[in-house]
Amino acid sequence: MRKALCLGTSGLLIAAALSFAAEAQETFKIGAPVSISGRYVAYGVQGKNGIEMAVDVWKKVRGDKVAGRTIEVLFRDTQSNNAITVSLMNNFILTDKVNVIIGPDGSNVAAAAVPPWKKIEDRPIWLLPGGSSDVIEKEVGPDPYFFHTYAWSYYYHESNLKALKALVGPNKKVALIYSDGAYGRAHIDDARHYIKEAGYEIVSDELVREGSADFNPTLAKIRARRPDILYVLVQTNDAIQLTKQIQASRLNVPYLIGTAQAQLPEWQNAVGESQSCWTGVTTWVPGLSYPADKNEPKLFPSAADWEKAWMEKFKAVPEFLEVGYYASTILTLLAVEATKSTDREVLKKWLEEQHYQTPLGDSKFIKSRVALHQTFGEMVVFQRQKKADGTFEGVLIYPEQIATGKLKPCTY
Amino acid sequence: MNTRTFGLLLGAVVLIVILSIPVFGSPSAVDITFRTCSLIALAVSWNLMASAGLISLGHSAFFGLGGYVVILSANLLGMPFWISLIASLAAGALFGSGLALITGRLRGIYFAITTLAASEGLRVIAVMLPALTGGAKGAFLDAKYYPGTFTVNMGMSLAAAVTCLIAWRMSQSRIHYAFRAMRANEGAAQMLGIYPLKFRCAIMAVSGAVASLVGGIEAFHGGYLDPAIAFDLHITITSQIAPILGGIYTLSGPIIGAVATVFIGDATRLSLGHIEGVSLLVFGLILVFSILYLPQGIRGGLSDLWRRRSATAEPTKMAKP
Amino acid sequence: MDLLPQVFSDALLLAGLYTLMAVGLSLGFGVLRIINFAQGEMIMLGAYGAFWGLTLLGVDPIISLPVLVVAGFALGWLIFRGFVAKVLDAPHINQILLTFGLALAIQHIAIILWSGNARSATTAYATESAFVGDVLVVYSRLIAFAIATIMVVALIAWLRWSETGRATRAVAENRAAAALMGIDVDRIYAMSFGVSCALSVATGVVVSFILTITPFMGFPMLIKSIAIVILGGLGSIAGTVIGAFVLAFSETFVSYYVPDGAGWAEGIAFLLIIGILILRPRGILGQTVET
Repeated sequence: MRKALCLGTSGLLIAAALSFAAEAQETFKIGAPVSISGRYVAYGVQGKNGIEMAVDVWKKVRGDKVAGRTIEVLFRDTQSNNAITVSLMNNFILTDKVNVIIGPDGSNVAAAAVPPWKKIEDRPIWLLPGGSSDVIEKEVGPDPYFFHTYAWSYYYHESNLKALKALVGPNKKVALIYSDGAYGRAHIDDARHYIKEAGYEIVSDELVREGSADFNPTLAKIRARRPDILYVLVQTNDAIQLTKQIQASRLNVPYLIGTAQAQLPEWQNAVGESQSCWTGVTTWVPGLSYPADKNEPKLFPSAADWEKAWMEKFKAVPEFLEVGYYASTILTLLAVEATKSTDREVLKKWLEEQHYQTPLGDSKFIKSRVALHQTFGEMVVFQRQKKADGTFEGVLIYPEQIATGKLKPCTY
Repeated sequence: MNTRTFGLLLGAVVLIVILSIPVFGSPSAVDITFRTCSLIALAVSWNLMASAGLISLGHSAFFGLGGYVVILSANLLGMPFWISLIASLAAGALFGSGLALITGRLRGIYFAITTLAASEGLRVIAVMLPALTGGAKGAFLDAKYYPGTFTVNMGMSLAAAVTCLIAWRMSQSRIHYAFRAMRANEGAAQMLGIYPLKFRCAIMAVSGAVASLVGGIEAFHGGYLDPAIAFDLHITITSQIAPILGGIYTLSGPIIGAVATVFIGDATRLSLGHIEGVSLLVFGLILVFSILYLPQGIRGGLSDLWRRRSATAEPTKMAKP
Repeated sequence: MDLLPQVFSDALLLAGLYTLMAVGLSLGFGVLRIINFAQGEMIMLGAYGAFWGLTLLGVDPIISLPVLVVAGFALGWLIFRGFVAKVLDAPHINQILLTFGLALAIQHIAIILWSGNARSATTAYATESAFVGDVLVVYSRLIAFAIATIMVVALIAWLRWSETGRATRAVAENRAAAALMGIDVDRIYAMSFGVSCALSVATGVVVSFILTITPFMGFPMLIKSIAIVILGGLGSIAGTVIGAFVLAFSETFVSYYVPDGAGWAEGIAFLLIIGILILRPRGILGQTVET
């Protein structure tokens, strides 16, 4: 009985393995590792929504197929776990033989996905619309098949400091708060670098613990230094508590800068009135005035129209990862449609040459510090300001050509 | 056929399967085997400590330690695959026996919590020493030290096989009785002339070395490590779930349990993975119900069935908690 | 500016929060000898309860506290009857894994119902504060401290003076003897499990306007609670209070006075656990228990 069971199990394993191998090639397969359980679940759901929206829109505009192939998106849950991510990447490439990989989301699982992808010789094209940590960029290196469709961590600080220098002026005192988590550690070095380059003085440089129950010790130390700018590098969860504590502790700092959270509806809803006057930097924020693409106005409508369509489908304001996943997915579908091929060399060449106007801005790939293909990294700086009706909006303050308002110093 | 021959047969079949798949298997079979072997080794290692009455809530401490030893010895010292693994083995053994000495006479829940604290403590250290470990940003294994897919997969299969053989040897020797006595009552065991500290050091050195080795091979396999991954409570939990599910304190239990855990995990993830939150919910529920309704694990459940089917057969030994 | 008064005030307010957080676990642990790994999820449920009360019904968390505490008690009772009662005599490891499985399930039910998005209750007093001399006092933390004090005092009074409370202490001390004295041990177990869950739900309500609410918020709080309970000693509520104060004061002092201290502060809990278990396994005020 037991032997039979044991043999049965191993037989099943082998049979399952074999049955995967034989499959028709008339499909275009997108491998989508998404974290839809575990700690990155909020990101994973955004990634999944973005891809689903893209495929829906494509089917509405172009029909069910792409270049005669059925579109198949393989959503696989990373469970926010790196070992599972490694196994997923292996399976996507070796067993499912996907044509393109889009994702995963959280910085750590994105980092975990690099080695298994990189070590396989005939790896497919990989679009990464999340994960800003520069360790990922260094590890991937100048790889021809890697397309980063999101900003690297240093873009944030370069844009932020440019904006501050233009809008606040020189010779300011900056207090830095960063977390011991992945976000803080990935950003702190570049933040320091650009702050110093702007000629600002760092008067306080404080580490906080991810998930700490009390940030007051840090804030009390900062209060004593009387900075002009408070520059915060912590992940959303910590940012929510910290934002409320900052308001409660009456720091009297005129400029509050957050890099991770201010664009997120999640943060805005959770902190309510405390969001007032926070300045953030992001690749995308509702209310951008990007026009529709001339050639593909249905796939890449203007940012405002796209936002409206999204609201209709999901009954919620789109988030930056969602638009990133949307644009990345549409780009890959266009690539297949235009080239009638799923060969990675052909797709790579097409992606390198394409140039669209998407709801997320210009889609042309450029070189970044190390990586060969980088797009959607253009950043805008905005401030959360209270409108007359009591609600808040993100007022664009930099770059000046798209600005919709002025930076106002905080009053609490 | 008596249980002993049956056990040997089962062992032989398992050995052949896990050692041949890295050679002949398809990529997905290799992947499943790798994860199963990793869990088999961890589960057997956890079960070794448990059978001496030492409940570990900190197996991730060994696992993470092994991972970091591999990453550091490869990246900083340029050690090759096998040498790095020996280093992680040694580190795990040292840490295990050190922990045994420190915890001295602690038992039950107190011991369990100390191991949990040790694991969380190591995580804090890894987070707070970014110059060495890369901190929360994580560290990649230098790709030039990657020994190739086959070596890594075979390494894990071998690790699982050797771990099982060690556990089998122990179950055949007198040590086995000492452990059982310690599990029942350490004080009484001492009166019988068993010196618990000596046995504790030995068993934790072996168990720690195995778990650390698994962490090391996993670091080669994954190529990336950060403190949250290395000292993830998930490691500890799955290395307990497997023996519990299979049959705790037995030899084959952890192995059966590891296979079942990987199977259930994959099945829920692949069939329900597209709905947010569901795959881990199902996993949690399976855990709850298997503890409520299969307290002796799958092995115990099968033994019951076996006995009912063949009334004439000699009574199968039941695992005693 | 002299920081010391501020340090003391911060540490004191944090200690109040920690006491409430750990006292539920301490009661359950002391009476049933079970580490309930789902205790943190009770905190999470309490926090969500308070948050939805405020967001959907406009009820302030402090007003909804009594209702949620009663609901928490009922839920605890049900969980005990449905699951925990069945493993009372099983090995520790089965109990740990059962409650861990429950925790995992509850977490993911929360994700399915409310998504993984982080939230926080935005009451007016959540961000108000006053300077008392040089010392900044944040109202939300003061309120939390007050609620914690009331709950813990009520718990101690209940254990000391009520009939059931005394029976609970008897069961905690010696289950067999208590049963011989005619105490309905099973009912006491269900009761204490319910009360311990209710206390955690209360913790959740209190932190709903201070901390960030996520489906995963419970586990780190559970770990910290375990540290506090071990520190104070098994089965001693007074010990738990002391444990909470020791942890809160040492964390706050390290955060203020050690460079990068805020990062190392978390390690203190684990250092304290290991230290206390080696030097004095019974904790500061614990009873001798064979586990």
